[in-house]
Amino acid sequence: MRRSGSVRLIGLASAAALMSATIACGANTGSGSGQGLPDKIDLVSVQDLSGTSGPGGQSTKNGMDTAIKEINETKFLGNTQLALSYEDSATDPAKGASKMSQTAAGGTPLVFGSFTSATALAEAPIAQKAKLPTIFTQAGASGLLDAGDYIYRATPLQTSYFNKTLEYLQSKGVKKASLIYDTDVPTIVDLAHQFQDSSAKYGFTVAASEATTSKQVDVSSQISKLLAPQPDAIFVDVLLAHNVQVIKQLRQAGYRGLIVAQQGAGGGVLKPLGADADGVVLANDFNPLSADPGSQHFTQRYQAQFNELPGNFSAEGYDAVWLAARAIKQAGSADRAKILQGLQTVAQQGFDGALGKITFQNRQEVTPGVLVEIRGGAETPVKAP
Amino acid sequence: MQQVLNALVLWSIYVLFALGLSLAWGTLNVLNLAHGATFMFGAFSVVLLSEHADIPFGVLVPLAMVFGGLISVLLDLLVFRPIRARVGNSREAELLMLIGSVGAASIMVTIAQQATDDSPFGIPEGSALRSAVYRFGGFSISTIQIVIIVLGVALAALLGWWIRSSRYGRALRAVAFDGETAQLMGVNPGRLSTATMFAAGALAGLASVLLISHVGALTPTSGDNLLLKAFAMIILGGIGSIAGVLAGAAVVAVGETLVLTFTSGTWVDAASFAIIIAVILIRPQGIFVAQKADRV
Repeated sequence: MRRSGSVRLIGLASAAALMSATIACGANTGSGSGQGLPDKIDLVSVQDLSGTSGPGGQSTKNGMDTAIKEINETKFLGNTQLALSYEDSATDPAKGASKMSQTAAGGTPLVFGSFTSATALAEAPIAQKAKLPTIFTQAGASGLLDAGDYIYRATPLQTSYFNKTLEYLQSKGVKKASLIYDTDVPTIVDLAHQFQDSSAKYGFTVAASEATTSKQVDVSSQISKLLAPQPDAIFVDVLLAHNVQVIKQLRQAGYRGLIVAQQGAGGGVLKPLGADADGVVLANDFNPLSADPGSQHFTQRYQAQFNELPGNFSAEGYDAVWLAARAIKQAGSADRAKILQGLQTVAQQGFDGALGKITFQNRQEVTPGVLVEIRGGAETPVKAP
Repeated sequence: MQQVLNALVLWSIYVLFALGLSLAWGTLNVLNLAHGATFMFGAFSVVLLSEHADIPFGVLVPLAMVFGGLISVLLDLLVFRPIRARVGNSREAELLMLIGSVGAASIMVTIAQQATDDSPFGIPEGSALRSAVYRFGGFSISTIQIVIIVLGVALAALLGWWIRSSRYGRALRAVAFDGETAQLMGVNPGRLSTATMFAAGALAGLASVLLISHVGALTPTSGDNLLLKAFAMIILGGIGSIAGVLAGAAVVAVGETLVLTFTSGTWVDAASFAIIIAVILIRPQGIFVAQKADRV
């Protein structure tokens, strides 16, 4: 009887040990910071490192690696080392879902999700079901955060800092503006509506509003209609390469007035335009030349590591990792539930990051944004009006 | 008046792109789905070159045509001819060539995507056409628009004459109708195939370098959307008919411009394809094919 009781006791102890090992999986237990943190915490980033969004995913990775290096060098988590490994979701929702399932089962205490909306939308419900705190960057799909309370987005919505562009138009005395926008990208359509709805508040009218799609190469017909009312400014609200095509045809039609664009026109996209891009103004969430101390600090560290200026995807990745590190520190544990509480606390408090003063509204990051002007191929911050 | 000019420019771009596709399809029975990628690669090649040296625009244009032509000939030699030689059944060969062209297109697109990080590419300022804008009252036209219209009209006329009246053109039509009999009559189908594929690719290269100058940049997938519309134009006009391509392109270009002039741009693709569906339902053989001859 006694023997069988001992066996049962050993069995219970083993089960308890197995459970705690499972919970702490991804964390090598040890003395850590002395606040319940292990020696090492292994985080995972399921990221689009190849495929159509591969370049964006790679830029994000560089920013994340910069943050990991800094966190460990400065001993932000005491003696606890943060490690980050990558799983390539390859801009493929099916692959992203599979990688997220594997990661969730593996027991990492926090994961960073994929860059593209479609992939992120496939991953978020899996992470939520596994009660795995997850931070996405980019992935602007409107339903992403609806997956549940474990899901955070560390990229501000463009609509949250678009007011900078509108203020700029007002400061330039614009009274009559024209708008051209792609109808096949929800974020761009949202911006077009914001532009139209806010025009009166900023003292101008939208004299012509023309729709196109990102696949329509020749937009001469729309441009004739945009220029007919002789606008003071034109808002080119289109996707990536389409910016080049629309602005080129505006210049071909002889338009030399003010052009404002959406964030997608930044990051060197307008390079093929050469001098035709000079004077285009847009609001972005990050600029490496910004005077913001957080942006400058990140830019210096990034340059030291990669010998090039960072873009906004890298800055967003950097802030996402810092958000995670702050949440872990706040939690004082590598437990998923406690890290979620840590995320909630940090989101409430906000912090200073590469994107400036970072706050959150319903797990959605909000940042001040920065207005830039393109000249000679470079993006230079414009002084706030 | 401005919208008439816009429609004319659009028509010329469509014609230059679709003529090459129609030529290979109508005469060699090659439904070349790599035509869009060949178009893109023609421009991509000259952009790569001009990034290393300031090449005058006047030299870039024939270079793009040569690149487009060579790519097309390579496709013929490496993909289409081996399929034709190995597969006796002509219907089966056409299907296999179509699949082969899809593979070839994805290789070209992937190369360009890797080289450009899937970003837009344009002709550097040192080599770009210095395009001026000419104004007449409320109407304006740029140098590149004039070049596109002139070349669109001139090449359509030249190709039409070549197919209808030249010795090569007559031989080509003979091969298209009955290759074996044409061969017995002394026609060399291999040489004709090479010349035709080169001409088709050269037209794609020309269209791409003109379009990239007009709109500033292309992307690795820029040819895909044009390809879909070109198929529609060819079917609309009648497969194998040069006049049919011109008419098909006119229907699409004018239709799109009318939609853009009077409604929102959202409807442009839907409206143009609705016109095409209507024509296909009323006249399935296309506008310019009077009767269909079946080879037996």
